[in-house]
Amino acid sequence: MAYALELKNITKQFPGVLALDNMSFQIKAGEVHAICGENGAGKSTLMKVCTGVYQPDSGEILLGGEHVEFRNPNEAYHRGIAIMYQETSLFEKMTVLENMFVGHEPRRKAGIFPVIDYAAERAKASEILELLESDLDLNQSISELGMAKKQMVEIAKALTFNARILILDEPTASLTQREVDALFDVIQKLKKRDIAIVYISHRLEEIFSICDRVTVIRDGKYISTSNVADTNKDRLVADMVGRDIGAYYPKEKIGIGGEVFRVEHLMQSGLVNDVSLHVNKGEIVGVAGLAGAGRTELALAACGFTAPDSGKVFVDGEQIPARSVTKSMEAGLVYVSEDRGKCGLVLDMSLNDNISLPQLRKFSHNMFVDRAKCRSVSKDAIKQFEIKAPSEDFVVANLSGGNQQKVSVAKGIALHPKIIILDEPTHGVDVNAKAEIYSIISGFAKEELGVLMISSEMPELLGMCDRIYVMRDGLICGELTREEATKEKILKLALNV
Amino acid sequence: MKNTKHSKKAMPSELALSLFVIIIFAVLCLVAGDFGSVNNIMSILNRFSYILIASIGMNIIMLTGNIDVSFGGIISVMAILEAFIGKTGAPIYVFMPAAMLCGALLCTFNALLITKLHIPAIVATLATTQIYAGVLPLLVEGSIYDLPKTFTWLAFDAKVFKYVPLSVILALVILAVALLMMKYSRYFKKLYAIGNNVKSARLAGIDVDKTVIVTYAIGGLVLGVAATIIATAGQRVTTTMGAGMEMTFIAAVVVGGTSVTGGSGSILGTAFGALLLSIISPALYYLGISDTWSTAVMGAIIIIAVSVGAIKGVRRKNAGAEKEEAKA
Amino acid sequence: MKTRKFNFNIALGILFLLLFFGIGLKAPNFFKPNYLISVMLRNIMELGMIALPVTLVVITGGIDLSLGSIATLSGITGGLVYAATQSDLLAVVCAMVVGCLCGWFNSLLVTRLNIPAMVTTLATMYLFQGIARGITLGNSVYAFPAATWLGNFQIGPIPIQIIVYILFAVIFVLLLSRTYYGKYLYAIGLNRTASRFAGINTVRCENIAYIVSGIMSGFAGMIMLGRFSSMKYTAGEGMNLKVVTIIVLGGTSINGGVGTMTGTIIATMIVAVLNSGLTVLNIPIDVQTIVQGTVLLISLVAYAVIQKRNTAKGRGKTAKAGKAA
Repeated sequence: MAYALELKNITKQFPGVLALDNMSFQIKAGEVHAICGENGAGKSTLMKVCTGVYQPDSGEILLGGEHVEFRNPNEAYHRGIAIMYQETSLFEKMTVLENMFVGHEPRRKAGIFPVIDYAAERAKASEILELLESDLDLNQSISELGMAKKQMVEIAKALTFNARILILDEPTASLTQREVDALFDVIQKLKKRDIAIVYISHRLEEIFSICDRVTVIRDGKYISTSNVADTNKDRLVADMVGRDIGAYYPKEKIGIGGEVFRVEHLMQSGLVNDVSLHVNKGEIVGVAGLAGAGRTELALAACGFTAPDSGKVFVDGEQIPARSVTKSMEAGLVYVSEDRGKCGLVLDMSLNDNISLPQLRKFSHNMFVDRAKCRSVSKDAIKQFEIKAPSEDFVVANLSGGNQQKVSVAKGIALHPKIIILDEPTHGVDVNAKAEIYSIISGFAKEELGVLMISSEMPELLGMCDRIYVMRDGLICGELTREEATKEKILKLALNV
Repeated sequence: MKNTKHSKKAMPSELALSLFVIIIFAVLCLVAGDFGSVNNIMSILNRFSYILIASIGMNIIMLTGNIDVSFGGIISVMAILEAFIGKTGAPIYVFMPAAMLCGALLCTFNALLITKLHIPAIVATLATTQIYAGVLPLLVEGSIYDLPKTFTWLAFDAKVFKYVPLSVILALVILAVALLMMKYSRYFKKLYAIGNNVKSARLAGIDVDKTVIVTYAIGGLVLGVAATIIATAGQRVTTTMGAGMEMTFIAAVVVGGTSVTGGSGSILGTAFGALLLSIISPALYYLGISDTWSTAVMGAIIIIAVSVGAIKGVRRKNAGAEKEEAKA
Repeated sequence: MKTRKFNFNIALGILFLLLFFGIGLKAPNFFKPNYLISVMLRNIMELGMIALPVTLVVITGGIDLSLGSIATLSGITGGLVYAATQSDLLAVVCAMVVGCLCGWFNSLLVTRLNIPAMVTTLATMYLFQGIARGITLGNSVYAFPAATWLGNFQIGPIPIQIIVYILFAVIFVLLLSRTYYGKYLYAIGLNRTASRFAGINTVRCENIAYIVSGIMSGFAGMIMLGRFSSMKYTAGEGMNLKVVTIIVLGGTSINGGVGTMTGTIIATMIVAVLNSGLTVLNIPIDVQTIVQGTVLLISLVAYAVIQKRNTAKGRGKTAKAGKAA
């Protein structure tokens, strides 16, 4: 029997980068097939080739045994391959029903005019929603839906094309545990319909719970495919990384000083429910938890980007006023966002501009900027962080993800904070840059300053942190020291098991 | 498992607007002397007909997230063109299509600047309006007058059932077609999609450039009808007949609930917006307020309409977020 | 990125020189200093002055289409106040206050209610002009002594407006290129969210830009009133297009984040040469408007083409620098 999707010797080259190198593998109908790989391994390019965004330089794609060529994403959709990205491509101000059929609405003839056949749409939509056992309201506007429901709409949309292959790209990133379970139920239903699911995720626990087989790729090359039942996480990680993981986490034991940062009973309706925590000088404290636990919201409220309903924040024993980012920064409290493209950096500006931006006022006499000072600060940061860029005037957008992240962190550290809150500091960063960033973070802690690290990556938390808080539903539900922390304990606390 | 009941498609904003307009109208009839007189109603209907037609053209353009501030200039061009042709005695079914074609061409030019050269709509049409309006005084000295009866036929003689001016019928026909297309055509869905998210629209297989160009062309076509109504209203056509009118059309569209960034809004709302705008001038007159305040009132109405829309939009987003919080 | 801007300004400078000498060769009267000052420069001063702060607005990604109406309303207010109180001081103060209030109103709608600047200022353009129309009942308003002085006083052969413009030009060039406020504006235009996360008070920065634009428009309105000795509510019509033309011609992107004040100033000179040059060559005023629109289009097209070429270059660089994910 033919495979649902087969790639044979697919190669894709970009100027200076070989993104996919002679890749071949097969996906069976009705299976949930995971694709694993580090950032930069080629997962995203692979998916773009499968869905017609890119055309391969050589090799062929077989759909159900038949050779196909996609000139654009729409052709792929019509042939039955659908993909659900992390950022949904839905139309916010249109309804669920409209979104499901936009671009391919069924039509009928009213006299001589072709009109949209709403009856047919509703019939098909009902059929699909029944299959998914979803309570989506067809007339509701997308803007009113949460992430989980939006994903459901995307899946429903794919089914209107009679998709045989559904690609899910990090689908659980913004879902609560309950929503993840619901998604898995839907995946099971789709399996029963012989629809193949390609599941791209970093979350190994999920892969082992829902997937049948897993393929590992690395540096654009195919590495291995195994049945989930026949392998384990360590082997997968070994395949993905291809090298000893031990060298990753250089957190040294250093003396821990007095308290530098404290949050008391911080509350923000619905998002943060009475959180109290503290960080000491020289400590790296982790904040673990699943998506939606309220960690970023906590940080934003503590730093003054959003207004908390109540609670106090102290830096070095002094209370800082709420709702003032400037005052927080002056007091030595700095936040480095997880979204460097949107919040962390001005991509079209140079390294120099980005690094000096938060301190520009400080570096000015009578409104005039001291350019020499800015430059020297930037040069120091580039050296300290080993940022690979030709000069400080290089535009940040042209740097690699890892180097961009370094600039984002460097920007915060250049402020000489007393306490720095890093939100997912190695998100979307390749292996090498990750190691370098960890080393810098440890160095920072060595200078008797405090680090609060929000992270979703277990190895990172377990390797780097002196203490780990676990958050769930806006509360701190546990605190573990380095010695007692294990992945199971953290996960159990995060899941309330 | 049977599906849960689906909510009624929300329509409170159009309902609210229509009530608002009707109430204003009723109040005016009661309070201001001859407001309800046949004469006044006729004149209002005349204004309404061309404002509605042009606003529908503006509406479809704005749904895609674009705009065209050269409508006024194009009306002037079309009016002069029609006068040229009409002076020879040619009837309306010769000069109106000519104007419509002219409008379609000029608007298509606008659209090409916007789609192929990626010039933002506001700036592109700001430039073309100067060019279109600037060419006219070179061709014509001031105005064309002494236009024959064949020219002014539409305004003075064309009546259906003895009373109803043909212009109003034209407007209602165009309105009906637009309403039907809004509900039943794939084309309209494409407009909303483009206005919501251009990238996603492309992914959905929509040829964005082609759709936008077609939209502008249609806008130009219907504008030709509106221009005809305006031009044939008297025996004289000046080179500045349409100057500044685009503001009225934009106002009607915005008051009618279309988002300024595109992606949402309805023809029905625009119709009520057009109605509201067509009663402002006569309303001020009958209320004893000098007509010189009409411009200010128009500007104020637009500001109030967009402000209300902005505040409502924020409230809706918060409400949506809360609903999800409650469920999660 | 810096070098690209430099080259653009140099290209603009060359264009200016070409036009200047080109027209001068055809009509030698053009070169007479008297003509240059009293016709070429003088007529562009109000637009040039307004273009300075509006460049700031455009760099943040906004726009101000109501500037002509603000100028008109301010000038008219000054005239009316003088007619009522015979006080020069009061007239000037009121005119400037009106300009400030109009700018503040714009900023309120744009930064607090988040209504797109294009629509807001399109509406306020109408509103402000309408108010001017209403309070004058359509009639003209006459100049008052302070305005006349501003419009006509000369230090030697040079009208005071030109001196004031030079002063403003220097201030704004320094403001945009050398101060932290200028840098903030660029950051806001490129990425408003990241700017906020860097601790910039984006609302305050934008408010300042709109308010200063309003004040400058008010000031220019008074000069206009003085120069033409009377003003009607239609006085400001078309000014917004001319100012936008100057700003865009000067290399400022209408989407924000890119542009220089020097570019705006050179573009001002180019437009001045075009306007006065066409007059000297006896080309009718109506053609001048067409030329204006065409010049704007050409500069937009040229800019778009340059952008396309640069992003293509940049895309290659990005792929090289980073691994494809």
